[in-house]
Amino acid sequence: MSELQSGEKISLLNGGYVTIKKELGRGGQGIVYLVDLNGQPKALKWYHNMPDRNFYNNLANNVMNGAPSPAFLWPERITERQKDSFGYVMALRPNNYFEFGNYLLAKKSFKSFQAMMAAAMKICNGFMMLHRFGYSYQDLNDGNFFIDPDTGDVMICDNDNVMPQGEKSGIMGKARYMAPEIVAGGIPDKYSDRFSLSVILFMLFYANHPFEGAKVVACPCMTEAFEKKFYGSEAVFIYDPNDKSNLPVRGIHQNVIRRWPVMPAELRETFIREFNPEMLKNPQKRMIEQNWEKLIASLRDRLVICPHCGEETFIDESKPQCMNCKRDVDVSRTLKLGMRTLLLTNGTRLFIDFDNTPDARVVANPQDPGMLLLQNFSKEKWTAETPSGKLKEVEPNGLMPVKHGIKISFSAVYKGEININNQ
Amino acid sequence: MSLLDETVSVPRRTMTLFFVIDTSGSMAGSKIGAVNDAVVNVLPMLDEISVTNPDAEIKVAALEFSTGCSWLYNEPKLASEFVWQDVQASGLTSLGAACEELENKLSRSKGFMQSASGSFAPAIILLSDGAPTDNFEAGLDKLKCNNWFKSAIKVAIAIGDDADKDVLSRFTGTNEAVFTVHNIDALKQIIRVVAVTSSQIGSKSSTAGETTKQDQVINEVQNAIDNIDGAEVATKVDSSSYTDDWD
Amino acid sequence: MKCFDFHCQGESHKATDKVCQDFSYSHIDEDGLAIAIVCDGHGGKRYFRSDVGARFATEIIANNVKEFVNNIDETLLVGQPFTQQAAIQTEIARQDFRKERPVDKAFRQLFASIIGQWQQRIERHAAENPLNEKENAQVEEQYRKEFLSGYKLEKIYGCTLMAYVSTPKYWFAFHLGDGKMISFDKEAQWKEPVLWDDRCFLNKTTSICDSEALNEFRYTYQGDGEFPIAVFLGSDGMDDSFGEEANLVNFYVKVAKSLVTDGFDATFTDIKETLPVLSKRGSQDDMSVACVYDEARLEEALPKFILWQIAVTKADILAVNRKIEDAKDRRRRLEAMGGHAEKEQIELRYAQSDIARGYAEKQQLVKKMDILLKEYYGDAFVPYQDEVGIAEKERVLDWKMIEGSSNGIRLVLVWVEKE
Repeated sequence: MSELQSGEKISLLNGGYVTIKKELGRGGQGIVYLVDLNGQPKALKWYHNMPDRNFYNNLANNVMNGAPSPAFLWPERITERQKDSFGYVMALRPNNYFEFGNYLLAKKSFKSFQAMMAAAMKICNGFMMLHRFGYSYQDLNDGNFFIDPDTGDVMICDNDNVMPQGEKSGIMGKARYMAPEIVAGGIPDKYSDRFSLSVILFMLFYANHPFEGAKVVACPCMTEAFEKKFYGSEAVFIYDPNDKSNLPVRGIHQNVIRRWPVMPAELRETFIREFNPEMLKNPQKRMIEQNWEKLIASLRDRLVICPHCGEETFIDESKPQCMNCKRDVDVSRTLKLGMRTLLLTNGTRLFIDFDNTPDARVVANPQDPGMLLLQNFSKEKWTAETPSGKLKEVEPNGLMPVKHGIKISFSAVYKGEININNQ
Repeated sequence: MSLLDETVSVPRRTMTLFFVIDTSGSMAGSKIGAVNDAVVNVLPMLDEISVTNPDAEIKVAALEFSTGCSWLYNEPKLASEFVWQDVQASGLTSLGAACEELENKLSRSKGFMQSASGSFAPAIILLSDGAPTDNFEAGLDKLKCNNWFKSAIKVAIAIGDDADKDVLSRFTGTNEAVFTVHNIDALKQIIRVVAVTSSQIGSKSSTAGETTKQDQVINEVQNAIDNIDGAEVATKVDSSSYTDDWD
Repeated sequence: MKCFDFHCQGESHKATDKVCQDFSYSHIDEDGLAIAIVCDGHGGKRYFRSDVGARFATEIIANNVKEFVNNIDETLLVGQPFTQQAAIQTEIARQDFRKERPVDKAFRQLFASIIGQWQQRIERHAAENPLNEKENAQVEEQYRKEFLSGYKLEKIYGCTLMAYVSTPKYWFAFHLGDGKMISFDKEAQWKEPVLWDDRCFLNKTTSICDSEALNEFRYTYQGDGEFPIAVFLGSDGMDDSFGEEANLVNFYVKVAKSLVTDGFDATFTDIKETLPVLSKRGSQDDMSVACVYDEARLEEALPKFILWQIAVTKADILAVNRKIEDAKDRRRRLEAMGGHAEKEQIELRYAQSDIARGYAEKQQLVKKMDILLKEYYGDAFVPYQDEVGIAEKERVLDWKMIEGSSNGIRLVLVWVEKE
């Protein structure tokens, strides 16, 4: 086990060095130091023990290939092998990001559902990009994710265990996040990652683990054998409609008990499908990242500001009611965008594309509060075609009325039409 | 038995009754006279409750507020020993300052309270005939964070129609704990009823489950008030319903 | 290691024919695993089966702790320094973003298993035991309805819980709700090993029946070789009987000393007799105590316990002395003013009674002090004495010379202490 001293210089592969400033924290694998790289503050993860040659080479490769998406706090440089160990350099994590575990314990919570949806979107996108690069994620746990509670922006850390698919890093992830076939001894691949993604998303939305219910709390001490059973061979989804043996328990799984009934039905149906015994056994059938993205986008399209209480609420079109104040919400005004339907209520922000930043906002006309306007939040100029066929331009920050039949080109790809139901 | 000898002390539990009395200029004359008279007369009754009560003894403290505020004595005294000194009325209505001072003393380290084990929640009776002239909000906000205040029985007596019942409701947390009196005789009677009821209920071990002691006091005082001419419960139409929403 | 526990019905419960809602447990097995548990079922009409809830909680804790200790990876605890973890509250209340370590996860699993099994157990009990005659007669309609609806059944059985567990290699303790746990180290110094939760105040307490129960567990562990020499768990009926915590601690010190000097049996008998009396004189509430102690080390610490009591009593005496002196000062000042105004008269009477009360208290304390001094020094002890004394010296009116500024020397009549 080697530790580094403040002021020490550590040489990097392909030239240069970092200077150790101070320790930031330590874990089972190594110590993270604040270091200086050419005048820039960076983080250095330094391993307690020299991992093997494969691990080193893999990491060096990952550094060369670069991060799959901005969500990853990716290794930027790797050190030479020295002092019986080595490490890698990455960007510092800004301090407004909190570990996912804190959200699960409700020590930290999202500022809004919008932020929660943004986090879900970013995680999906990260996984998708990871797989496009041909990697799979091997050491997934709630300590890997850091989330900004205000914006929902996500940083995925500890990317040293990312491996090309089909290879095994030797560092096993936590059973809680592993697909049952991996708990049983399989090699992680994109299918098992998809399982992990659905677990992470479930936990993000409901702040509880999808398999942790009555069965898991029957045991006072989580032994390895027990873990293998409950996350692997005998895993039962807590809301499995055909198996009520693992329901969440009052006083313990309070988050999911509270949120399960109020979050949108579509989400419930998706998780019931993804975690059913059939799907657990057939990795190839698991939902792909793109479909998760679509689902999250469609949830977000129905996330509106309640005109009565001013709180955010998901709207179920069959019963348009606010989750908080239970009053009816007027959903007659919508924006049709291909297959999607975005609800237009005062104060709601619209996400036209998948970049996680709002592109438009619905506001009330100051002169006539009953009339809604659409404000262009994007950097692009929109083109609108009125029902009578006139073409109008809406500059960034510009306003246009929410009026039946107006067609809007938000960009070359995204074109929509305003629909008012009672007209 | 040897475990309970001279070296082990088992003190009686205590409940402290606070009078918080408006002594601003508008109280001058018969109102303040009635207050003085009523409190002097109720003290022996409190002593009797204290002496005959196996659960706890009752202590009394009094804070008067006008342009500033001051305690009659710098510690709560047993009801039997509390000597009432007639208060005089003059000056403004610094209820905000009174809230802050009350907050100061509702603590163990620098104040009037003892260890929470061995204590019952205090009872606080606020009497006023006007509206605060200082920063009441700031004072009350601080007071509302105080654990003793949160669990206290809080009752207010509004003297006449000039009393700001909204302010009093916010002090007690509910308009149902604000009782209005319209004549001197009613004032005297209500002080007696409120002080006696709060002390009786406040100094008993609670076994009543979901009904708070404050609610019990409110119920009993409401029953008694029907027999007092010129006294009434604040009606529910006032604006305090919105304050409840914000709790 | 030895242990005992006892619980009894409170004085006020006798009057109203209510069963004892406390439950206690203590056990030491052949492997050196020692457990002490106290659970206190809530009073109040809604919680009409809290005695059953407290008993179930106790049994489940005892079983689950054993299983936990048998299965846990010992390295998680061995070597750990004294570590206290508070209840988890939302970000508004606390800015605690500690990383959950494997040992914390292990405890969380244990606590979850306790709540989960308790919940199952009370649900089964409710299903198998419909409202009985007494309950039908005594329980208010709204709570009977609540029971019949099966919604929030846990409230009806609600209780607090605390436990102390020691093994040869480590110890841990956990607590949910009120009541007090006191531990003593080899220097006879006491502390509350588990952090307090400020939400427990007066008659409010956190509870196993809360919706956030899992987050309300507070716990402490230590595996670096340091062990308390005695730990006492007492329900809130105990601490409410003593008021200030020092009084409660003093009682446990008495028990600890008695265990050494009078032996286990005599002390336990004494406890069984004392607790009901204490309830009568103090809180009126149910009382329970559970204790685990190390005989040999307790015996070693005996003199230190007495010294602690002497020090505390000394501090109390000094505090009373200050009160007496202060009241005397006030009296002197008021007498000098002539004491004619009504307010001065009142203040003077207060000063007088404060002096009298101070001396009465002083006498008790000095008596206590002498008992303790004798215990420590044996028959050759020197009785306690100080300049304030234990009674006020008789005072007489006497003429005193006062040097005036203009009219020379003047004689005035004042009270002076008789020499």
